[in-house]
Amino acid sequence: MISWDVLGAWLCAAMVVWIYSFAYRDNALYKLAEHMFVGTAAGYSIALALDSLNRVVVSPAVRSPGTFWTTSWHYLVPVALGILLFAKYSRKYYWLARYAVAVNIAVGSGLALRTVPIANIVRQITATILPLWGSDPVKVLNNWILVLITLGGLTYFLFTIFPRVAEGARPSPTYRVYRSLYYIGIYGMMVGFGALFANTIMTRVGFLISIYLIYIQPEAWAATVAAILAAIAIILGILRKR
Amino acid sequence: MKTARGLLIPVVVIALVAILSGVGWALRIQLYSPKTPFSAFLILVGLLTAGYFFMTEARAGKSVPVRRIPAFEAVEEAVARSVEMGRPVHMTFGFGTISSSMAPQFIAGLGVLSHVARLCGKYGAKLVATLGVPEAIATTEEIIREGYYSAGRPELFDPTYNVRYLTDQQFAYASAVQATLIRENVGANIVVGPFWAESLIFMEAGNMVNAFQIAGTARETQIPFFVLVADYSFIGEEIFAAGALASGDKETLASIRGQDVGKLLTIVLVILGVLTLLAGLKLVDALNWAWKVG
Repeated sequence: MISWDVLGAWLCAAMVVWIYSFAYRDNALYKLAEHMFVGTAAGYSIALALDSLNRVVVSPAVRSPGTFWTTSWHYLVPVALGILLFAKYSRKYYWLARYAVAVNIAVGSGLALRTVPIANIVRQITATILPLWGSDPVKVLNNWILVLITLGGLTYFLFTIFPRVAEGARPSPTYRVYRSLYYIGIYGMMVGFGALFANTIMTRVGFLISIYLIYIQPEAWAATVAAILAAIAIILGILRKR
Repeated sequence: MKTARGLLIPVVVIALVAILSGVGWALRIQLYSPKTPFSAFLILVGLLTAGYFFMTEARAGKSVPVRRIPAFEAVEEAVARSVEMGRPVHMTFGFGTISSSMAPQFIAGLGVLSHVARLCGKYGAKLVATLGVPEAIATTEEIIREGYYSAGRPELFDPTYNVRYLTDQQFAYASAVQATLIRENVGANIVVGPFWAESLIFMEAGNMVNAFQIAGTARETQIPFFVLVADYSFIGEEIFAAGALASGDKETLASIRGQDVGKLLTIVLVILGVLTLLAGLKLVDALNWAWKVG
């Protein structure tokens, strides 16, 4: 007996394979998977948004208007801002949509600003103040690398405050220090990016293996079905090319 | 008049810091303590004041020098190359909601988009902007319309072609963007904003059609992918500087100088901290002591 769960698993396997088939070339099955994916995601977002609106505003306002107007009236502000977004469809009042976008951006910027001084400045400073001399040479070397790369990275990201050298003139000592720190910063960051890259790839390979395990573990035939689906996608791609 | 205004700003800064210090002293708050980071608040006020100061200077006509950002300079090359090849330019700036802490990155992406749109108008290139941020649809349309109209190419503006909202769900957005890159056979792929796991998907798809790729994000876990695959990449905060440069607005550029003051302050405090550590002192204790005595 084929249950809904099994059908769901088959559909999931098919979608995974069809999406992977894009690595070979664009094909009809990828398009099917993509459109299902985008359509489902859009529908899901709309359902979530309507549900949230219903739970937070519409239901309380209809069921107990008295309580809503005394305790939750402020929810009407985002509702009004949301309605303003639809003003973009009017040639005359499209500018009203800007207010809603402006409030949204301001809230986002405010949220970002709240944590920046403590996380990006104060904690970074306290974590970088390390002893550069001591008995443990490995620890000392590590501290030197950390301090120099932090200073270098910060110097690299100075966009408007930097020493300049006139054409044909000898570079000043300040300029030399700036350039040295600039290069330490860029090379240090590249080493860091390499480590981050390797780390992320390891995680992604882990995901890939876990997906394969899902299909192989319960029944071997599931893997066979996945392989057949992949073959169909590739054959369709080749036929389409011809 | 000018001198009076010039004097007013330091006076306001000193007064602000004095008032805050007074409040901190009255409330018995330590300058630096992990539980109540009053120092972070002081830094925030200082940076905002510095930013405001530079913005007033810019308003008075003072220009701000900005160092070379290769990825920003390459945008024009990317657009021109696409026109030569008869292929459209693609730009995207991420997915999600704009009212999140990623808002500054979305704004930087929109700034770069305005630059790209102006260049597309100048060279007569077709522009496809794929979106994952529903709140930015109206703004994106307006930016692209302005880019084409200001260059005298209104016939190139077609909102249904130029602006394509996909979805705000990560991998659905990613699958649709990569398909757009291939199906439109784009000549340039410009990707600036906050990105997550989809960053490499976009770069690979752009690579499949041999697109000229310029990418940037301030999310450090994704920068390696952009650095590795893109022809030019904005590293971290370079996207904010690029956004300000693209806007061409002196005041926005001046705000970048305000951020630079913060970085300079960090450099000075780190050097000072390391030196005080050499003398057997902790900078935090020294500052707290100076705060109390002050």
